[in-house]
Amino acid sequence: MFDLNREAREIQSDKDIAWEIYKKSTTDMIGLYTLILCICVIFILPIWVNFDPLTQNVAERLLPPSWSDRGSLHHFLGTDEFGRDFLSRLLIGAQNTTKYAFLACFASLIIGTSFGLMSAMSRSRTRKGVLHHIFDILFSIPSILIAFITIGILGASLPHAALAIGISLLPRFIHESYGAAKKELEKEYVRAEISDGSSRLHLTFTTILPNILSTIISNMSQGISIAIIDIAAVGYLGFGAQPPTPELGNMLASGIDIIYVSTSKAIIPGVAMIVLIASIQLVGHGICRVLNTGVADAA
Amino acid sequence: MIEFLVKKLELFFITLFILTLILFWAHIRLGDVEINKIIPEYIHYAGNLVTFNFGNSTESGMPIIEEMKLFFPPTIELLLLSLAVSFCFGIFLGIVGGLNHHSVLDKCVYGFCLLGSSVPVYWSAQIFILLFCIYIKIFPTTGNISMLYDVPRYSGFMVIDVFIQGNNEIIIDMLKHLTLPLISLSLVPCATFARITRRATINLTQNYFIKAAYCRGESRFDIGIHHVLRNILPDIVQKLNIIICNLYSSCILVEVIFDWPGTGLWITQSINNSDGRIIETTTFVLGTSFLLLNITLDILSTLVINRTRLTHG
Amino acid sequence: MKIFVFLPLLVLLGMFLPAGALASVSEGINRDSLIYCSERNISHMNPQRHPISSMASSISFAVYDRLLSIDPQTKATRSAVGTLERIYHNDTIYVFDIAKNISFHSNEFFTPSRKLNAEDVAFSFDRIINKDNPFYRPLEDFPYISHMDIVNNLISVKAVGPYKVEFKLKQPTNLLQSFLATDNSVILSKEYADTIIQKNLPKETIDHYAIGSGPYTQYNFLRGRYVKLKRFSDYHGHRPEIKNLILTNSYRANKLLYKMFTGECHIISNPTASQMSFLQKVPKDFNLIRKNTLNGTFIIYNTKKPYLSTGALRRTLSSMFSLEELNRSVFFDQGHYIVELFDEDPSSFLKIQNDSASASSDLALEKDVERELLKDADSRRLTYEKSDKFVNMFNEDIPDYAIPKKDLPEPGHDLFAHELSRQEYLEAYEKLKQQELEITIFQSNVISNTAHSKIAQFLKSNFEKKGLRARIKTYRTNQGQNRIKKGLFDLAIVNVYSDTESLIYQMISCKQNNRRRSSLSPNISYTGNYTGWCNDTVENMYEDLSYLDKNDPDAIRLQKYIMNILVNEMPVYPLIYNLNLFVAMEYVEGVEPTPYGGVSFINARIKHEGDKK
Repeated sequence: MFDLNREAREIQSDKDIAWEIYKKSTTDMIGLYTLILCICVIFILPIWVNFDPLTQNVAERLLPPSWSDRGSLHHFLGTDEFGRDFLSRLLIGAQNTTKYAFLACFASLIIGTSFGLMSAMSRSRTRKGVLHHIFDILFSIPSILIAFITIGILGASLPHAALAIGISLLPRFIHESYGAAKKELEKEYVRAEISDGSSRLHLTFTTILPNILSTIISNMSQGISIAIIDIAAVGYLGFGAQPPTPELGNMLASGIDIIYVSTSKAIIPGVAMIVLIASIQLVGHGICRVLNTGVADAA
Repeated sequence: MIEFLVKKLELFFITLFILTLILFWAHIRLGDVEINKIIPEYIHYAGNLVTFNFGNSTESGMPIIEEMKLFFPPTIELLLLSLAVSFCFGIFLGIVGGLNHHSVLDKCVYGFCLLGSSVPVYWSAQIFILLFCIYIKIFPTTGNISMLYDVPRYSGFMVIDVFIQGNNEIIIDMLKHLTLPLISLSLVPCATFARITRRATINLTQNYFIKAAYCRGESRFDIGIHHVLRNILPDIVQKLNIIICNLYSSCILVEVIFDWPGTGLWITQSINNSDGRIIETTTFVLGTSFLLLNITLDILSTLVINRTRLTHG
Repeated sequence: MKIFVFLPLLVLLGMFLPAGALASVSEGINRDSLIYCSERNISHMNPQRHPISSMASSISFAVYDRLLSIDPQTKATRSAVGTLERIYHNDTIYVFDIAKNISFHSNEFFTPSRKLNAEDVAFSFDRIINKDNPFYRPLEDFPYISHMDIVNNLISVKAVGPYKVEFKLKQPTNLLQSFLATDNSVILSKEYADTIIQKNLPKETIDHYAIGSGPYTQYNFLRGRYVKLKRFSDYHGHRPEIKNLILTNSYRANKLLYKMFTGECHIISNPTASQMSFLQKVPKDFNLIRKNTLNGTFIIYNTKKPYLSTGALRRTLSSMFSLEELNRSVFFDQGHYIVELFDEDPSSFLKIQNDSASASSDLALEKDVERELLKDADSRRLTYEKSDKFVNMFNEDIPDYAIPKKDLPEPGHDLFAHELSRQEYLEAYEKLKQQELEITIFQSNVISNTAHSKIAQFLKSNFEKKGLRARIKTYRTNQGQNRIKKGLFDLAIVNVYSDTESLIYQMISCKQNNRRRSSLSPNISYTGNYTGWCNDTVENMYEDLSYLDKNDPDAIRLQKYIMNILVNEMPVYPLIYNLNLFVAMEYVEGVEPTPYGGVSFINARIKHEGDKK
């Protein structure tokens, strides 16, 4: 709760307050730092350093990472069976996967939340039902199968895999935003606003949306993690990014194929994925905590 | 109540209808259907689907129903077992973590939740195989029973059939084959259950009646079972739907990796062979089952929430 | 409180300990059973419905009998169930004697009431050629028959006596016996077929629930996964020692080696290249058994494209990468060069002029040697004329692209390999640079096609290093077959599974494979000439070669000519072949390779510890 006395001395902006609350949890801070590190390394570093995931150099193939005997500092994480630098492949691969996962999740979030809100706010029963359940058919088919069918029709490539995963994420966003909006609509202050005469559109944007923001953000962070794992899963099965484009999934698959000869190539992409997803979840959790401070959770 | 059920059934049939339309569209793309006879073709096709008259596979020409009877039970068995294991462990861990908030135990549970939901199942399965099958040679890598044993089919579920047969060696072999797929599959739902439970427990412990019970001298264990469990159940049931859908997705991947004789590998092979009939019928069966599951869980969650509301006024 | 946390964990651990204690490294070396793991899908139990593959051959030898067989040493055909009685009417009628006292298996639908006779043999082949046979299927469902000729050539197969079968042909050919000796040409039971019709079962039952006369009978089949076979008590030949035989397959090839380590497989087929390089280091636990077939990878060029229309262009493109680097990066140094099979040196195969003087002097030396060879040659051989000896089957459905153009080389001149001069090389290079090339690869049921994807990546990277532009396109099986037939590719990477002699011949032969495919058929093979180029001279030379012994000096000379023409024109570029081999645990012995790449378990047995060596 805010200390009224302190307000006289220093005026803290909302952002500072939020930051204070966020800082309280060390794990969330670790998550934030890791995520910032990951984003810098994956997206910003390649702008300056010239990473080259595609050049083959058969003379230097299958080098182990630099910390083991035969490794060299020139190829920090070693090379794959074609002699391509593994660090570059890892970073560019993570970039590819994350870009498309974020795109898919974001698009799905926007469409899903709007459908959910529309169905929660609409007064006619049929429209409510239709908007709410229109994509339930996708709920009942597992995401991998949706990916198979989409790729069977459109052909195997990373954007198509992202499209498929985005489609499979839709129903979850609709349901969650519908549930959260419904909960909000039953609260006293919303009822007061309605009786004050605010239109449904106004109500949505000023009252409902900011209050379900925490649900949306927690869904978004979960959604991005699921999107990354699923896009990599489709890539692992060979239906996503086509080689030589690096992508976390198909790097895992080719790493497992040569596991007898070089174990690091299979383990490193997996560890990278765990670190990325764990940090995203921590940050999402932290933001939710900040947004939920002061909100009584008990019904 | 009845009105509610009727609405749900209406929903079920409408979605089923849309599903058959989508599948019919896929059927047109894959095969040759005359354009002017579309409506009777559709009725014929939908009728066949609904009465489980699935026809023969394009690749082998043998009836699809027979193969379905062979491949569905192992998947259901794996799903149910993994759901049970992850449910029990997840809730247990979540309650323990929630009740001991701000302690090392809680941090361990939280760490487990985090890691468990960030590990991709196809990667962890491969690492488990390497670790437990190749380096420490305890478990076998593939299948649900050794090829050398012949277990007669009583029910199609290997767990039941093996116990009916009663041979100790075979039972132990089946357990050995079951362990790794079960563990790899249960990791993610267990973490999810633990996370939900922990969050719900922490919220619950803010309530006065829990603090009162604690002051009264009830041990944490008693509080856990008598108070916490019943109150967090609605939260869990709400999320059960999504968890089971994700579970099935992971199940397909795990089956492919462990060569488990279930629908996952069957579907993947059919897609590789472009076997249109099998893909259509499996999508239909899976879609219908999950729709039914959704509706059941919806009804269940409303029942549970209503009852909670009734008891807590 | 904390005890309730640790107790379940202890229980869990406790569960694993007895399991670990009971575990042995292998699944218990069971003397009566053998598990064979292959990489190819077991889709049918009838080898007739498979392409030529190790699984088909293994099933054939385990469950069925064949009319003729191939002697492993001399590679000649010899009798199995059938003995050639006589050939008459100018090589168009073959009569075979059938052995007596051969029993068939029985299963849940069918119990045989008689032994094998000529009706069964006649039925087995009649269903392939005769449209009125109720079990007839279009030719693409019998993918092992690679030449339409033999099927079009057969007029009828009839039983002319209880133990005599007659094959009537349209035109004389020497291919009938090798066709009958193929591992896939098995003998089915006509009585079983009649029972299927009578009981109104689906016709595919004959391919799904196998009834044969071989040493093992099928008793459990899970399509695409495994088949369990039991020893047949009434088998007419040598009684096998192994009672239970299990043939399985894996979805991914890397599983095969894991299963060897945990004892779930006793013998595996074709490990991947990286696994092979690993196996070299632990030789004593495993036996390596060579098969008689090999797996060759080729690049085929679409000679109808303007930027690939001359031999110079294709040769230049082929020289843009090093075969040795390809072998190292994709095949882990485990592959061999196809051109070495034909006595060519892979590093100088393309014969492109370098700046170094020594290379050209070597070439000049070679030319002199060749001239010497030719001097002794019969002058008749230098002029090859067009002949209508082979039947060219051109179907109207085939578009203009696929009809190969026939070149008649000037006699004497083009039988030498031209060295590609620096000038021609640079011209070709300029022309290639203007076009973005499309590297096409096909996915199929065979798992080993990750190698193709790697080869494509390797090619793309090398082309780009030299300044050419390239992109990779992957197609699934049926789409791929359409594209390759319509000529919608620039260069494609294909895999050929064959024996040494016909390895290159299949790719450049003039005899067209005009097989119309139903869009959903999964068994596609790419053997066949899709380059749009064929040459009567080469065709004639191969024809002559088939009558000569391998070590005959004439044969060696003909082979050299063929390779020279190949270098000049280069419609295909032979890359790497892999020896197909089996890897067996060291306690498995007596496993023999079959002529077409499978494995025969008749003499297999599992060694005891106490056995004498």
